[in-house]
Amino acid sequence: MPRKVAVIGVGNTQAVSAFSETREISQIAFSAIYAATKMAKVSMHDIDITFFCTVDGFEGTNRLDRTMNSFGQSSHNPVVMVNTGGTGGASGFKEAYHYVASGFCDVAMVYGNSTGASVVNGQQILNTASPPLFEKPFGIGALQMAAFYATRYMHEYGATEEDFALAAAKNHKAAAKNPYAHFRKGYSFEQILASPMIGWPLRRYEICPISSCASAIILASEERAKELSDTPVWIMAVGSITDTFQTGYRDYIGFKQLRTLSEKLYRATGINNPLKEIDVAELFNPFSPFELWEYEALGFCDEGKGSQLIRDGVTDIDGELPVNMSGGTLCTNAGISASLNRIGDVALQLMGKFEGIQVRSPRIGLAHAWGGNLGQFNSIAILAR
Amino acid sequence: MGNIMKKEYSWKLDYSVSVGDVYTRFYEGLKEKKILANKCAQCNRVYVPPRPFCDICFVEPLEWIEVNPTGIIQTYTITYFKFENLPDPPYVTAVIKIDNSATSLMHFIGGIQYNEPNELSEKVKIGMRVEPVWSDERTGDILDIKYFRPSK
Repeated sequence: MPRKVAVIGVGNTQAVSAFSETREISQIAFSAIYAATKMAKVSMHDIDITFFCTVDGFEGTNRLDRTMNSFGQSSHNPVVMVNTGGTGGASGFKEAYHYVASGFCDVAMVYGNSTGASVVNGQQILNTASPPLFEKPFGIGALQMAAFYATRYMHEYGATEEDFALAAAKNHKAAAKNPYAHFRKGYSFEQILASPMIGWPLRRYEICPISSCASAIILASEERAKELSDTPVWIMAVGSITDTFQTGYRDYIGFKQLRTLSEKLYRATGINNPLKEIDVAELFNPFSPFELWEYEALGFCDEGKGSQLIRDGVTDIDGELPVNMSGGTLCTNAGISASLNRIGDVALQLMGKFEGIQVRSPRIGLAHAWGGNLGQFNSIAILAR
Repeated sequence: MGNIMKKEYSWKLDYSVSVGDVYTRFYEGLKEKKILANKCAQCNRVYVPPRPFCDICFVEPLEWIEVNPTGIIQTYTITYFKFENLPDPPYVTAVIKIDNSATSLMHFIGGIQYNEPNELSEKVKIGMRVEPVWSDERTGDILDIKYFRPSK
């Protein structure tokens, strides 16, 4: 029987453009980890294990030694590397949960690095995520992968460019109030539609920036959490699912693997009506239409009806289920940090400590992350106050 | 203190991988302007490109067949922005299902008017039938097909 595990500390750093970053990467790590340990009221010596999440290639050092200076060294803790592409932070969180729930450790830390802060041309690495023999040669980066789904979604359900812009506008509006966000200009629906087409049917402001920031989360066993925290956030369930590497199997109609995963976790947590029972969610949306497909895969609405939730304000601050009140990955994407931020932001919302648009007294929250070659990995964490 | 300094370094790695007997046969077929596929004896799924094993049934080997090289566009995107080390825009990349394949293939779409870039999204359609345009010099590579074009 797994032990109860709580999130007791979350640390974030201010996001900036990766191109104008002036902090050295271990300084960024230090800021995030320091903030998380302060909130958790632990020292580095209290941490039994650290999960370091990043993507090979982005930092130019395979063992990521530069950043490792910032944790674990003085306390001689084991450091475990986790790499599932963009999902990395959420995968690291899942592993940390397993270690604490199993009783092997009492306090674990997950660190999501500022993946974009070093590499000159990140698209080159994203392109290497594609199967090299058959897919890499065709000008495919993360954007094109997202656009394949978007084009097909328009074809299947009659979704429009306006639907994607509405989803983007909701995020930009929220990010403008989030002191940690990168894009904080609050671009309007009209400004988004007037922004240049980058990869049909996606426009510049419907595509995430390359940000630099980092985040850390500290998890603890029930006993330690009650001792250390007045606002522990309990982990109800964490899960992940894997799709094929070769994307030829995808039909590009919705996020089917995510649907399978969500149904499994809802069964495990006894959630019957996610839209009503979940109070706050952070969904991984580096491209604005992702949020719509995630609503559908997570059972918030029927297939093809995602944009109706946005039009009706259901997922805005005054709606039934506020989603991405951080501004989402769309407005801040520092790579791995972005997948961990989803969980961190939900935890902060449940603690009542979110510094942007704080949802009123949420009890249950859901965080989602997506990554690898074209959604090869999906991860969900369901948390409760 | 003056401006924060930047330092450059790089990580250049080259790779050479064996493609194995299955992909070698597929590439040899491309040299002859043939699209070779394989078929799982257990579930009858046809794979283009061929698979070393059926990863749904998890069995090998698969039976070889030559397929009709025309395909149907499943979805597509048009890249308008110049990304370093990716092709010059605009270009159309499509996901194409060849003949009766269980999986799709990615490739460029050509043989359409590129001189009005903003109208490209009208020139390509999901469900459109396309055929390969072969390169004159074929080396046994997926790019032996220069691109797919709308079939007559």
